[in-house]
Amino acid sequence: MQFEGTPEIENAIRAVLADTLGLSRERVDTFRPETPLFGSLPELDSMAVAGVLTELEDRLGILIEDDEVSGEMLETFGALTTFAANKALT
Amino acid sequence: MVAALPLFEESNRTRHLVVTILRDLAARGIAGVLPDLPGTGDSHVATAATRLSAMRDAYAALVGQLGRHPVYALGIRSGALIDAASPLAGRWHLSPMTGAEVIAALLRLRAAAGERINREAVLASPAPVTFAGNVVAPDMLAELEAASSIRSAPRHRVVTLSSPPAYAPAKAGGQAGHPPSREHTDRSIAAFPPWRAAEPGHDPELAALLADDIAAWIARCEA
Repeated sequence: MQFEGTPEIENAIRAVLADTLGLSRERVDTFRPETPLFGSLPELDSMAVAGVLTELEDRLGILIEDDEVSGEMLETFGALTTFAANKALT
Repeated sequence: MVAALPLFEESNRTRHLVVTILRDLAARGIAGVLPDLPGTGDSHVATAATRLSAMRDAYAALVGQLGRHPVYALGIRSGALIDAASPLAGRWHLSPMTGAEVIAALLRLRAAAGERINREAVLASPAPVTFAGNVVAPDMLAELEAASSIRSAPRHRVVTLSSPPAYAPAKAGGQAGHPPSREHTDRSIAAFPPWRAAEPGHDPELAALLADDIAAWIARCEA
């Protein structure tokens, strides 16, 4: 599902991944919806996941419950964007 | 100035920032100490055996030994919990956490690792609980659950650091993020908090900004 405002959310997620995982802006700009994240990005271990999610909460003004945290929501860049957009835009 | 790093993983992520702040302060004539509290660094106490109360006692003992000069606390994140039992000239806290927030962060580590566990189970556990490699004793968890940084102390400055919001949704009745848990903030700085970074980079400008804030505040306290 695509909501109005999704490009801003996508951009915020790119910035959070760059800042928390120490990735270059050029690298995160290449991420597409199908780009795999958790399990494929060595920088994104479970310790890093917690930082990514908490930083997303702050920047997007959302609350993520621990029981919503799953491998699926982090599987791809598109899955994470959809999850965050659902939180921030609906 | 006696500095206290945060507990657990955030200590690794903030050590460089704190050391750089202390060096900047030294250049301004303010001496600093960064002790290895029980269960951290080169301490003889095993990490899994440490308690917040033991860390507070050790911190207070150090402050007592430094008594010739006014001693100020530099507490970052959960490090702000550690100076509560010490007779200090003042406390400077950066984005302080309550003990309950520390436990929430530990629970999130478990959730991120696919090993979700709820707060009640953690606090009822008779055995140590492991959070992403951190083994935490039941007594430590119980002490944390009840802990907060000192309240209504004189000369207590709270500075917070957070990334500016990236998106301000125009939602009707929307609840925006976490409600602030602290009573007061003297200064809010918009910058990416290094304790969120898996491999924090070096940010000498941020360290200098914070050292300036501390030095100016101590000068006002001593005036």
